[in-house]
Amino acid sequence: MASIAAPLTALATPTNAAGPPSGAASVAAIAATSLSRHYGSVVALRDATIVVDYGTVFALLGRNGSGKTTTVHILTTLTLPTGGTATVAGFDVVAEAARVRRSIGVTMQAAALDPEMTGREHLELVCGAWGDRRSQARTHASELLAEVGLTHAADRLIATYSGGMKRRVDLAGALANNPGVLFLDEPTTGLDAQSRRALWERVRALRDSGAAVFMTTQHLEEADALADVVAVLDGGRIIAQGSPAELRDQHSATTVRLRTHDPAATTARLHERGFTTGVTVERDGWTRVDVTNARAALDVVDIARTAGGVTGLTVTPPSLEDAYLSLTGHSVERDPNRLVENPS
Amino acid sequence: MSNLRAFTHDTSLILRRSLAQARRGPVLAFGFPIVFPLLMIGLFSQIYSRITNVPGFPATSYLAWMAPAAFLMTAMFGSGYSATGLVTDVQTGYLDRLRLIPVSPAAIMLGRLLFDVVRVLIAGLVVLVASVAFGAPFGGGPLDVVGMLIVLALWTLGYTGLFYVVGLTSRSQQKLAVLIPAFLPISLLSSAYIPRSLAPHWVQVAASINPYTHVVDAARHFMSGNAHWSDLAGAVLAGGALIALTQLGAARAFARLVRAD
Repeated sequence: MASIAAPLTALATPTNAAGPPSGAASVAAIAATSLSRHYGSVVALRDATIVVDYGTVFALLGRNGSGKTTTVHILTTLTLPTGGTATVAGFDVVAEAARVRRSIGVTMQAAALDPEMTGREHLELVCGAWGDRRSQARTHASELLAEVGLTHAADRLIATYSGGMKRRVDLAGALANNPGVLFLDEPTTGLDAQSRRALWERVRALRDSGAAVFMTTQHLEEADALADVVAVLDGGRIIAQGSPAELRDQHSATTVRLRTHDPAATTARLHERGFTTGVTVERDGWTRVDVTNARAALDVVDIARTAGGVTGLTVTPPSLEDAYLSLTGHSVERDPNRLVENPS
Repeated sequence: MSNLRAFTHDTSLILRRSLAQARRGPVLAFGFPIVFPLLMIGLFSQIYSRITNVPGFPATSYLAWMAPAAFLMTAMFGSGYSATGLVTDVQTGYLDRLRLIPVSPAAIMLGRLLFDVVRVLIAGLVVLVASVAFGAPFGGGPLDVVGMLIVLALWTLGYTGLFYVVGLTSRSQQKLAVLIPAFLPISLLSSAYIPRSLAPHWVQVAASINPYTHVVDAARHFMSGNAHWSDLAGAVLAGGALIALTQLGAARAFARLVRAD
């Protein structure tokens, strides 16, 4: 899959070039302070503070109804915040909404495309809206189609596209104005593994070309794989923020599971040797020990072997899933009792 | 780009999109507003042909009397077309997509409205030619045709405004569909199908305050070649009032939709 880093700058139309400004180091791509949004008595987002630099990927991780889409809507000027402030590409999302829109590219959760248009027509409309004259728009649209690998299907109706193709058209449209800041709302939901990997590659290429990518996701492995910074959103509140490694180290542990003949004796030995917390007896002779590093894991195994022999062993490294679970108290799967958020 | 140029550019983008959609669904876009009026011409003129026996009936044939009504019916049939499309755009989130690329919200509405007018004018011409082919007398000249088209355009803008208001406030295609039979009382309580002089008194009263009456009368006079400036003025006033009423409401509802809260 060709890297799209270099051609990105070539797509800039002079009047609308909005790549990362020079001296970008001093201006964060996205800066939100105590951002809040309520709908009547329902608080969709509470006190969110976020900083995203150019050339990084930021992932907002949370399940349905946690406030992800609300956050995206506020930062992309589709919704006004009810509290707090935010700037995107240096412009205030409330006072300078039009300038914000000129500087960003957005793909929505449900790729909001007109099914009765062809991919080419959609992109020509988008390019035209950004100021291209007709022939310019035609050329520009062709280039964008080539970037996302849709030239072969360009003249088919979007209604005939697969989910992955629709997202690619959406992404191509989002790139039309060569934005310095990209918002991708759940970009891989519903995609097969191959399309998901391909999109991850594109996101990495975009980041490497200097853009700031703000994405929301429900998938832990996606945040783990792509993000430079992850913020965990739960019930409208950011409850943790940091790199995936930081979150793993701070909120998750290496887990050693041992099967021994005498779990009680094993536990006693572990207590003697200093492993007083984090030891849990499970079923069928298994004992679980949460430790902070690999060295401690080796010690645990040694202790258990001398205490009575080990007949089964698993070692699980720190995971974002564990971190999420310990942070939120639940797994990331959808809670059937919770209404899915509908910010419109 | 200056603001006006940008606005015209955006409007033409939306207009072109509507045209592309219509090319793909020509039956709904262009066929629909033609079929019912043609049916009217064909059936009504035959079924009610003997109405001319009524003393004082002011036309030589029933076709002659109701041809202008059939002409104007094109505006009311399929009038929900663009409004429905707009509601779909709202529901699918496509409207948000249009807001994120800098298409001016006013251009989004105007582009669709212009398309409505275009397709109705085409349908109206077809129906006019068809009624003349069926035997309706046309006593006017090319300027009268222009006059009729102006009247049709005004009525289209006013009438579809109703659908836009309902569509944009309810955001529901079902509620929009409920409006469709509105054309029946509007046209029945006017001079469209029966001369006012032959109608019961309460219908006469209703017809006199019904803007559609003035629009139909203007079209009728154009068609017979007896139009006065007052006809056009009356139609413009009536149509204009309706447009002001409905389109302002539609613009407000649309503005509320695209506002960020």
